[in-house]
Amino acid sequence: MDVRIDHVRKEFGRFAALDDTSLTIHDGELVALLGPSGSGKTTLLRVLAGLERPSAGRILFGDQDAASLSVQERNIGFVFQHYALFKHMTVLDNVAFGLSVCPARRRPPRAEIAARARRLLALVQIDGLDRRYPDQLSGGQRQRVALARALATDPRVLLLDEPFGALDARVRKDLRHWLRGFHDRTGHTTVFVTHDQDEALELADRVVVMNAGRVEQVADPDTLYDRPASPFVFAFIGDSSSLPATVRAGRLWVAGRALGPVPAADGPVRLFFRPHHARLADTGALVGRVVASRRQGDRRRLDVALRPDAPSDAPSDAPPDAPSDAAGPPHSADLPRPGDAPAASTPVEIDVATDAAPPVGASIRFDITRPSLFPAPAAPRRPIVVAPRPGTALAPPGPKPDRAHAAG
Amino acid sequence: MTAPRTVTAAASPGPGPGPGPARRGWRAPSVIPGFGPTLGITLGYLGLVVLIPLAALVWRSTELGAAAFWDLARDPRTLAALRTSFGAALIAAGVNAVFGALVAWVLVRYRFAGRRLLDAVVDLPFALPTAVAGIALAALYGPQGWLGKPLAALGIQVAYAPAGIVVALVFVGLPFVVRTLQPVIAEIDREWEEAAASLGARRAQTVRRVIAPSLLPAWATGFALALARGVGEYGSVIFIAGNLPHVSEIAPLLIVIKLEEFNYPAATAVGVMMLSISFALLLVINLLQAWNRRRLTDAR
Ligand SMILES: Nc1ncnc2c1ncn2[C@@H]1O[C@H](COP(=O)(O)OP(=O)(O)OP(=O)(O)O)[C@@H](O)[C@H]1O
Ligand SMILES: [Mg+2]
Repeated sequence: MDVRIDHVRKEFGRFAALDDTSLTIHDGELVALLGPSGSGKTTLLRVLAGLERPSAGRILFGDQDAASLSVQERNIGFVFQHYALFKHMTVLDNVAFGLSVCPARRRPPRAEIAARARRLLALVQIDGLDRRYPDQLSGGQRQRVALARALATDPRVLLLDEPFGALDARVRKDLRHWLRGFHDRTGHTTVFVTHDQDEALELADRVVVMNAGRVEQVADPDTLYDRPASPFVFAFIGDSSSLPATVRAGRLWVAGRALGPVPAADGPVRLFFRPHHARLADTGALVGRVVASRRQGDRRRLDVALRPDAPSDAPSDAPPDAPSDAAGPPHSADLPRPGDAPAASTPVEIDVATDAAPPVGASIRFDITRPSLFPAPAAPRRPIVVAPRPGTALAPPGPKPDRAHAAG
Repeated sequence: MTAPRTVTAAASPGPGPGPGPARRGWRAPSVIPGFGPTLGITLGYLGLVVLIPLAALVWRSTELGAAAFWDLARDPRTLAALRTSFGAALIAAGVNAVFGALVAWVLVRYRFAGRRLLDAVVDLPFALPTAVAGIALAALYGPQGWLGKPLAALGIQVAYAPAGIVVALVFVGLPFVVRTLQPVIAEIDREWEEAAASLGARRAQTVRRVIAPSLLPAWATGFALALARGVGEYGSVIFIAGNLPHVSEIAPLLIVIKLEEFNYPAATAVGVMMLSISFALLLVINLLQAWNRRRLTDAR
């Protein structure tokens, strides 16, 4: 059964925690809700569970409008961020609770309830702790009890609010794997909230990126990482740097230097790139000074302050957007736009091989192998043209945003 | 006003490790310093304020001699007075346990105009001299009172009957239950209720299976406090009770009567009887609570 969220809005007072959110969750899917704190993830989950009523819009379970269903009737398994286990009940009673409150004619006999609760505890791999109380369990064990409790009523949809939020990195990782395996075995339609992007990318079939009460992008992890639909997603998923740039006569100009031809309309843009999409080269188009260098996995990450005034291959008719650098005077007669100045002096991050890492203070030249262009900040958020990609599976209604690619 | 709050803090259910078997030793090793001096002061203080007066009471009652004590204890009037006192106090505490819980629930859970005023009203039985309360109740429930008259028409007599005692004790006992339960209700995790609902529990099931059990320890404490207060209450009761020996005479009144007869040993003897029964009742309630707590924390 699919779950459709159709233009849902949720206001608390005059504040919209969810703003025109639409999303379809397919049967049997494992979906992650990812977003910064306060972006409305919990609110969306609670609206789905019927714990909050949407101010506008509808939710459909299959073709049934959820507005007609109470919390009790929705048959949803909800795992709360802090588990909300019943303290005065044993682990077994907690898990059995959902069955024991069934209407009498559907309620299984007592022994059957206990047996099913035990089977669930075995399923989440904490058998043997039946008679303990929640206070006597570790965080990871509580997590599993909460999950078993939510599964007891055989829910149509499983909703997990930051299921691993309160656990340490090691346990998180174990439970993550376990949840993926569990989902593959049981096939419950599952939505989980996280603000850990690694967790979302590793675990989910599809990831919903939320920002300020809106869905920014819905995509599988690969698409999300490689082809972010908005500057927000680009900056939120993975590491990235951004620079003010200009398109002029079909070429991309950054810090007074031409990077290459781009199929985009002339005007100011914002250039995004990932640290590993930069390449040191003697003939590199961008020039900068290394201001910091640190180990990052098997690479070194450099902070590079761009220097627009160093010699370059750029034609002498440099575009008028050249922003000033902290180290030097403005390259062109035109003053940089106020919005660009701080970003231009902020160092960008690039990754280099450890054996080739230049020392701090060195001047380097590099190219950006995969720049992505978005409209300059003041403009609307929708990325500018370039090769529409069919099937990117973007959720927000309206024209599909797409992102710009330019070869460096 | 602060009195019951303080009691509450000490009696709050504390889901954490209670005094379980591990701590049965004379003194558990603790990282908190100052055990010696604080225990010393505590014992000294309790001794001075509570134990020495009680010891004096017992001492005084022994002047009566065992035989006389026994006769007094078997005197139908004494027995009736004790039965009236404890019976009325138990009923009143029970009534307060139910309605006090309701009041506490409403005060904590709902926001409405006049909530703060209502909250303050709960403390009035503390603030009022009990005699004033007794006179007001007697006037209200008397044969010509606002409530007494219609009730009399229905054939129900409240004032100058045992029912009047219960009414007075309900009045003085209410704040104990309300003030004990309020902070505990405020601490109930909203998510418990939401979790229960999402598991399909109807509201009544949630209240019965989730909320009530988590209130139980505080509830028992509130009940015990209201009971203790009811047993010892004198001022408000004597005005409304009618004070008929064997019918609506309370034990504290019997004590005062003995005092007025300058029969100090008999007065203290009745006091000792009350004390023993009260102590036994409170002990039972505490044991029940301890048992409940152990059930919750030491299960394995
Ligand atoms: N009951 C409420 N009353 C008023 N505002 C609320 C309420 N619940 C949530 N909000 C607001 O709605 C916004 C979204 O909240 P929500 O809990 O959905 O965020 P979230 O994405 O889950 O964040 P986090 O990652 O920190 O849990 C927040 O700004 C929050 O302050
Ligand atoms: Mg949240």
